[in-house]
Amino acid sequence: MAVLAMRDALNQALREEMKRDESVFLLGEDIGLYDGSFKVTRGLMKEFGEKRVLDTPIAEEIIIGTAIGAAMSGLRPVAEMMTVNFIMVAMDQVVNAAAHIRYMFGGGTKVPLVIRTPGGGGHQLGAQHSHSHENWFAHVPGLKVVAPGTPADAKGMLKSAIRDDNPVMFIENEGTYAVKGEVPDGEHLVPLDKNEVKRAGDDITICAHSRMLIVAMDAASELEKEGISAEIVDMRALRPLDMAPVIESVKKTSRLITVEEGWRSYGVGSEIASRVYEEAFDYLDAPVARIGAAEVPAPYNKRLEKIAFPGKADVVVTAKALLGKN
Amino acid sequence: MADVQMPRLSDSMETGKVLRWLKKEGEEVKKGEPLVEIESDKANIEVEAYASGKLNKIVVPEGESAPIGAVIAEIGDGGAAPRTEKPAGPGEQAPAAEPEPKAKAVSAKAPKAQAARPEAHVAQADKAMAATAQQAADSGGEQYPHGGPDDRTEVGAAAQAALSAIRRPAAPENGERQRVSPVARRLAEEHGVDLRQIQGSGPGGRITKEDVEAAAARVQRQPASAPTAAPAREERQPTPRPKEDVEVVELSKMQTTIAMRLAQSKFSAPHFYVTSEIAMDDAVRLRQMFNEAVDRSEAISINDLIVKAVALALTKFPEVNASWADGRIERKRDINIGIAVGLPDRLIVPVLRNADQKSLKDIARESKQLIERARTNKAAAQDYLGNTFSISNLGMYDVDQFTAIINPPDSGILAVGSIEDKAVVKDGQVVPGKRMRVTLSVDHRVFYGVTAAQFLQEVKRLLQSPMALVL
Repeated sequence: MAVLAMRDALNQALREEMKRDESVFLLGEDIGLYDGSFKVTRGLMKEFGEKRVLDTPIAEEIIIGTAIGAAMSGLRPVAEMMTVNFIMVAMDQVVNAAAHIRYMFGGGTKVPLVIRTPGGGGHQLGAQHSHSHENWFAHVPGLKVVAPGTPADAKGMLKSAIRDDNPVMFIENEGTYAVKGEVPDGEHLVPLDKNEVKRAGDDITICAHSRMLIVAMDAASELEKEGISAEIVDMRALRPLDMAPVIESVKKTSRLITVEEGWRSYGVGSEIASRVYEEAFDYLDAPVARIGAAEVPAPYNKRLEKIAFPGKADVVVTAKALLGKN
Repeated sequence: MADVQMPRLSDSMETGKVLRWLKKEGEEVKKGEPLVEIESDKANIEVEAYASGKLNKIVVPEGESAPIGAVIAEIGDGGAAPRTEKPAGPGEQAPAAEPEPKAKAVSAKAPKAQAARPEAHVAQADKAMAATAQQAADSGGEQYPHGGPDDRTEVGAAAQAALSAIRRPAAPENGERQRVSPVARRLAEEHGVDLRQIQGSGPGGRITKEDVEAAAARVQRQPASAPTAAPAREERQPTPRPKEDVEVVELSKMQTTIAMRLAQSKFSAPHFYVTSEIAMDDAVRLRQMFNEAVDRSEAISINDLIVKAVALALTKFPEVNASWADGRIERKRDINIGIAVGLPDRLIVPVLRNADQKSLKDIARESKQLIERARTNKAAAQDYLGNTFSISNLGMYDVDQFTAIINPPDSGILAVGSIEDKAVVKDGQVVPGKRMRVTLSVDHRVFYGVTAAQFLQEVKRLLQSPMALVL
């Protein structure tokens, strides 16, 4: 068990899978010579050569299209989109091709593809570089969507994603690459369809994924000082969405907050709330509270940006309001 | 006086190189004017001055690099002298020839003094970055590695919509529906609590789970103050004898609820009954062996074996683990077994949750605790919620068999009689055997005779081959 930053945990997963399976290769913008915009692919071109780590032109549709073709003909590509905002030009490939091919050909061919891409804001990168779009993909049957929030899960889920025979959207977050945590050495697989209680509590349930998991954990520590015991469910598996730990938790606490970095409307929290209303309505003691980004294109101005994205204070105050304590 | 800092020009940039100063030391600079050209890992960019004044000092000369945030120049307000360096600090006297240990060079007292030397300002910025990183680590993470720590204490836009939903004002009095949370409504029904008597404490005056639990506790406690001769129960309130030669017993709130619910069950659910005789020789032996092997506090009862057998059988018969719900059937994912406990003045049914997933030891321990809490009146409301099937065991009272009334919202209840020593025929021989009769009551709307019989067969099979209960 070593303490690694998220970017290094991801790097380890890629390296191990490339060593284990020759059909695994990487492609994306600046991932080779430049080691990747966020240094996730550091050293891999040097180690595995230019045939297995491909620097591509700035042409997202071609990156995904190439990866789909390679996947259909037996390779296991891991494509990097520099940020999830840039994948928009390749949506046709992701949705109409990658997600649907296995179904449209009656299972005759599969697409074992991983698309790694970070979302998230808070770095003054403006509206075209700061959004979180995991819900766009989680809407589409045929895709798997995961968004880990700890280095250990990042490693374990990336390895599982590479071994999965379906297209997996592997959503990272620019704000978590430097987050450190213990990561098991060597073979460490985390399932793509299991959410998990990351902190046990009795008074209120908080669902969060990716960077918001860290925000929620911080908020829980703060709430604890005020005598409120929050249970945190890590929603790392977004599609298929594993609701079991949430339902179980809500049956205990009767109160739920969802936190996501993206916009609330039609968001991850909306889906979770609906499922809870369907499966645990009679256990609720308050309406489900959804926290998400302000409904504006992410502002560049630093102060505006800070209040546009959810932070610890939002979770703490909302939790207290739900409990009637402020 | 304003510091000019190395700007962050790309998200992956860690240091920047000063390519060219566009102003000389001593020259006037206007805010917004191009000041310096910086090379980042991605591009060369002209950086504007963020303040007006005289360029007092260039800290990082052309060709040198510095990390993000390091001071690269100072702009003064015009007249003021450059904010530097009277020789005081050790740094000033340290020419290149006298290599001081780095730690000393960056001593906090005289950071400005070292600024002139590239290696010193690098050390200064390194230290600043290390401090920031430490601060971020202390606060639980680096979720804002560039944008600064999550230091906001006021609510931002992110929570506004959620908060306004939570804090929506209470509904006006006139005929508007009372605000009651779903769980509070359900609990109120189960405890027979009158919601109209409760003042809600939740946001907007909503009646919450806690309000109902408190009200239910009050109902139970109230009569306790009345002195009573009855040995066990306080709820019983003897009233003056009426003219007729009968004693009228007033019911406690709980007894009223029990009476109402049982009547509702018996008169709305069409019951039918299926009885089976089970050979308990192996189960009795297994229990004996088990209890010899474990500590006395972990001993199991025959009832624990029956609970486990029923729970396992239910995993195979989801149609039995179901409820009648207004013209529909609800099959339950969880298997929660209600265990009927008779007390002198009432019948209660604490619930053992997820019994199918628990070991015999856990079942024994938990049901002991549940029953103890029920007996001593310390049960939480949770203890009585969520049953999906119930068991009523009168085996210890020497009964052959009996029929039980279904415990809502279940659709089945198993009534368990005593284990008797009987002469049984085995392989053509009359031999002694231990036999127990169980009777399943079924809500005929939810499942039918064949299912009932097959379910009972499975319970029987498990109790007759009880190793399956230990595995």
